[in-house]
Amino acid sequence: MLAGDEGALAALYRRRQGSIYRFALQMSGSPALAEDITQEVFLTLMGQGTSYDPARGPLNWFLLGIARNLMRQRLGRERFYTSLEDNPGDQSGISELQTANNPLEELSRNERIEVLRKAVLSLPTRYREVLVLCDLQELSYADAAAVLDCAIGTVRSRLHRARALLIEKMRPAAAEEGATAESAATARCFA
Amino acid sequence: MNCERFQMVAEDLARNDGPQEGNPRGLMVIDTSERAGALAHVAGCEQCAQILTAQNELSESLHSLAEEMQVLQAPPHLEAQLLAAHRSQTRSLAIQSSQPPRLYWITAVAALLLLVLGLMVWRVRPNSEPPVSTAGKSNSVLEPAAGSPGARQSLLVPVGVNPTAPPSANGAPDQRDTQPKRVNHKASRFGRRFAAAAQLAKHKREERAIKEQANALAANAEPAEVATDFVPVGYVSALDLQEGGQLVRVELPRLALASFGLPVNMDRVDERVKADVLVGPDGLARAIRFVK
Repeated sequence: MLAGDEGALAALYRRRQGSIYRFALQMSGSPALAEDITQEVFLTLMGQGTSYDPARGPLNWFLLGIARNLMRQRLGRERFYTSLEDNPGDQSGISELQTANNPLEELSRNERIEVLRKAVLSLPTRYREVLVLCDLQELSYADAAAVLDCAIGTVRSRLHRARALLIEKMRPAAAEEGATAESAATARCFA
Repeated sequence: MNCERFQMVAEDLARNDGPQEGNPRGLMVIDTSERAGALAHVAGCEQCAQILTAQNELSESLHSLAEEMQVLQAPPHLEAQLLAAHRSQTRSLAIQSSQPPRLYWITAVAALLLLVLGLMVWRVRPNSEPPVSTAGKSNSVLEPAAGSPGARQSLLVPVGVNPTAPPSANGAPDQRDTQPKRVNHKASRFGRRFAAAAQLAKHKREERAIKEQANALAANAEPAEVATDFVPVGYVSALDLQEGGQLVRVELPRLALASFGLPVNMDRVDERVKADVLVGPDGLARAIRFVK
């Protein structure tokens, strides 16, 4: 690919773009920003691909590391702006991904995931990136440490803190959800 | 296992990262015995059981979120844009690599030539002489200078000036000024040629300046005069001439020449002639000579 083979670049892009795009989307919650990050990652790879050392790890780590650095730059630059995409009805196409077995159960599940997604986005960046890599991208502690260029212990401690914060954020929603289910059962009883 | 230790491994239990079947990426962060101990602790500790339940629910929710997002891909137009950018980049690189580095070579050669030329000028300049003084030049004109044999013939010797007298201290010609200095022969071959050419041009300039100055001196000099010997005035003795006095230039009628026994051109009798009268200390004329 570094020799200018367009076919190789296309093949590499098709194989790796998914994880990069999802990482950027899970980190930012913005499809537009995720597209930008994905494109910039591969443009960076085209320009600085010679700096990749296979001895230091697989290419996916390298790409995720680039994406993480770009994301931190963009988030640091755009933290003073309010995204117009915070409208719940305009969220990244995730709400379109529904299956229809039990509508009530599915609705509850989708709401829970939506709350979780917002809770993840509300985490501080250093906790969010660890959580995204370990729990959403399902990397091991060692892989995440390699991507983030830090120690495994740091990954573990940040993940512990991130999960604790998520449980705290999810607790009111779970209580509200339980109350809603209880009232629905009562309504059904009276009906 | 106590509750504190359990809280440390609860996430690993919930994330199912321990080494077990179906999880080849097990991180060995919790070994089998510790895992068994943690599960045994949960059976007897309600608080830790709630913690494990919350962690499990969170892991399940996160897994669901990851599964839902697993199908998300970057939009197709992104690939087209990226490939277009790759094509343009490859094209620009090809253009850059196809251009021969001739321009760089030309620039380098020009810079080198300028450097060499500057070095030559710098090495020749210290050998150049300071400008020749005017006095030295005038003496070299009036005196027989080496290299200008015809200079004496073109000039008239003024009255009262002894051409054979030795030059005064101030007017002594400096041979260092008239002789060309040697060029530093340690320079390179090209440098020596360049220095010789510069020296030759310098000599030509000096000769031209000397000729111009000689012409200027000849133009400014008084016209040559021819004088007779002093003729004593009749009523003084010869001893009075030894007393000295002042020489006064006067003009007399041409007929006065006859009074001293000199021939008179009658065709120019109306003209006046110049004469130098030697006046003694007492104010009386002692001698006279006629000047032409």
